[in-house]
Amino acid sequence: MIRSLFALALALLCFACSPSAGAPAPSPAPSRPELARAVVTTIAEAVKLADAGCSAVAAAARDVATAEACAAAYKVAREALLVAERGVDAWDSGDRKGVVCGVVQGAAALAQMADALRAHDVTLPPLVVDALKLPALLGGVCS
Amino acid sequence: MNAPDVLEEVGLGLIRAAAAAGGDAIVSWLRGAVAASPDHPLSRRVAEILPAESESERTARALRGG
Repeated sequence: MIRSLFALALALLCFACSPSAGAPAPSPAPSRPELARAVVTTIAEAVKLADAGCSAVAAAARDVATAEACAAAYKVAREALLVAERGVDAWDSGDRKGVVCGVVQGAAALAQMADALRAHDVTLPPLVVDALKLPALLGGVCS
Repeated sequence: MNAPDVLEEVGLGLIRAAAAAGGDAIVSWLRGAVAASPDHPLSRRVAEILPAESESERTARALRGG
């Protein structure tokens, strides 16, 4: 009896000392296709919004350079996100690199559009701010 | 009945046969394969959001022209 109680106390002590004791279960790795698709689509929506902003400020300031810079970044973002989307559609083929690189490159192009907007003292919409953080959900590194 | 009609009938027949045999997984896979095709509308979400020509490009052209 005493031996059983001692064993139980030891087991409880070990559980309490465990690094994971009381901690929430770790969230599943963000490698699911539905998450990747949400990231791709959200960044695409942010690029569309940034493009509209760029167009408006460029037209108001008659700033051809800003319009051209945003148009170039838009093209890069669009192509990258199309590649990423194809990778998500063919998720089972295992081409995760195409998805991650497409997302990272798309977000980098979005960042260029965001810089162009900031240069005109435009406050970035929350959608753009949030979208710029999304590549981290997929690892954030294209290698 | 011409050749494409025959092929369509054969394809539909295979799907019906799989469904009749209780092959839900096969039918699901066939539908997934169609949806994943690059030409399928469900696979064109980014292209719908981002048309080939941006608003910035149109603005740049207008500013250059004006």
